[in-house]
Amino acid sequence: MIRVEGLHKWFGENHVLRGVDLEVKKGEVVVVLGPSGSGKSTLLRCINLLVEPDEGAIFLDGVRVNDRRIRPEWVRQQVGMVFQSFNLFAHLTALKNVTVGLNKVKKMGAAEADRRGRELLARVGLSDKLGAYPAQLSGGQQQRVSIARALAMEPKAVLFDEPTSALDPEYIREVLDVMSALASEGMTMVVVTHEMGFARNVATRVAFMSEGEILESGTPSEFFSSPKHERARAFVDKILQ
Amino acid sequence: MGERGRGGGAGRTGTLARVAGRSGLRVAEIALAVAATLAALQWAFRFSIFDPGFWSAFALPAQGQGLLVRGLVGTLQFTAIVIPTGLAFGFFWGWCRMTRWRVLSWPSTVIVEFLRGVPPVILVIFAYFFGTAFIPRGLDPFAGAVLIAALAVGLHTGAYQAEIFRAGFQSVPRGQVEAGQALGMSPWQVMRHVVLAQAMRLSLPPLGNEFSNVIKDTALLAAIGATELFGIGLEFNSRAVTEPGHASWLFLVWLTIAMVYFVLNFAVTRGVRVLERRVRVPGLEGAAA
Repeated sequence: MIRVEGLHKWFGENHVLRGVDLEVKKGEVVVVLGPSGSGKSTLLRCINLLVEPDEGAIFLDGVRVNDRRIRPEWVRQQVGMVFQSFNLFAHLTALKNVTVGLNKVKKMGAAEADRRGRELLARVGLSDKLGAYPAQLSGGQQQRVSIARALAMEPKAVLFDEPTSALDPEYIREVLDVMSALASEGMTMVVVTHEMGFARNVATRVAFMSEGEILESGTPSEFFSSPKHERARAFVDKILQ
Repeated sequence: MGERGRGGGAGRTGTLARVAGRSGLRVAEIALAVAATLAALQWAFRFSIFDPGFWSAFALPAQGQGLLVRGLVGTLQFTAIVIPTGLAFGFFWGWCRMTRWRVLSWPSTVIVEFLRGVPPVILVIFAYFFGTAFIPRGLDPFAGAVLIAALAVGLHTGAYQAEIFRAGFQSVPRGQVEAGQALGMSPWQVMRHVVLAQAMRLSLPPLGNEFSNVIKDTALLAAIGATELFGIGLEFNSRAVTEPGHASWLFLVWLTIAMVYFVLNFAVTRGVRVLERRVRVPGLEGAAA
């Protein structure tokens, strides 16, 4: 579904992505692990073109998307994104955050969008917070709203950029539960996270990134029990201590 | 804007009732204070606000339109020209100044800095003398020159509003824009439904302030003989000075004009505050509110 080939990105002198290849099939949950600064977030942001790749190709269902003839909006409508800092629209209620994309981007009628929004918020367990503004919600609740917002567009895949890193420990569980449920329903997901429990139990594949490259990729059990690359071994040793 | 959750209506009525209750108490206090001040002034400067000769000369002549009415209509007209002009240019320049495109941001910066650094009365005089080239054929030359001078006041306030809008735009966090983009919004949709919706809320308090300045700045058009409140004040002033026995009218005429300006400003600032309250969102009050 998503294929990344030979992706390079420079931020000034800084060579952040150094030839990344990645394939994500329909229904797969790929967890991208790696030390901070290894380019994981940049990789995700390249996939939905929030960051413009410098070299290489990204394909969505076989269509090359980093192409001048492709509108980034077209790509982003098919690939949802959940941010580390939630980025809920501060001036809109939880319900409006979920329905604004349906109204404005998909041109859906208000009543239909409203119904869908309520359904989605119920799915993430927030039926009682429809009218609350982001500032009135806990971090965990905000992140669940932002997952509902991404799902509202009926994306083919959802990218999660460290969805629990900005949360207080007591709220991490509720967000991971929503993500696990989503995975079990067959959603295609690419998740950058430091939650090893999630990687181990939910991922269909783990990709280990270091210094702008994917060094190895395999099933979670393979990766955690016998990492092949030296840096992957060091990383696993460190987090399993 | 205008996107509000349910339940806001009930809360608003409650707030209004509270405000009305509080101000009901205050109206009596204020009326008393005003009456006392007025009595003291009348005694000190030997005039009476019930002087029938003054009111018929200034506001309600036996025939024709009173000076006061002409001045008030003029001030309202100029305000109606200056505020939209200022908003349009202010918004445009403010937006230009925060774009990445140098061809837009650089000239806007120069224009805004220039307009802010020059006394508006000089802009008015320049526009009056040198704007005549832009007057459409068929329009009365004086009316045309005054109109252009009014636009100059609009450009001046536009320069201040540009800074207000720029601050509003810049206070919208980058993540909000990215969230809009990630939903598949076009750049224009992100601008309208995310950036503007939030920036306008943050810009409202300083904008209300600037509107109040604009009303007062229309007085500068008196420098070129336009008919508005300050101008008709000057006109009546010179009449009262030359006619013997009417010295006490001087105090009355300026007091009246000051009060009219005050009422106009009060209405505008209160109006903006009501608007602010209507669009207020928890967590988006902004530092300026």
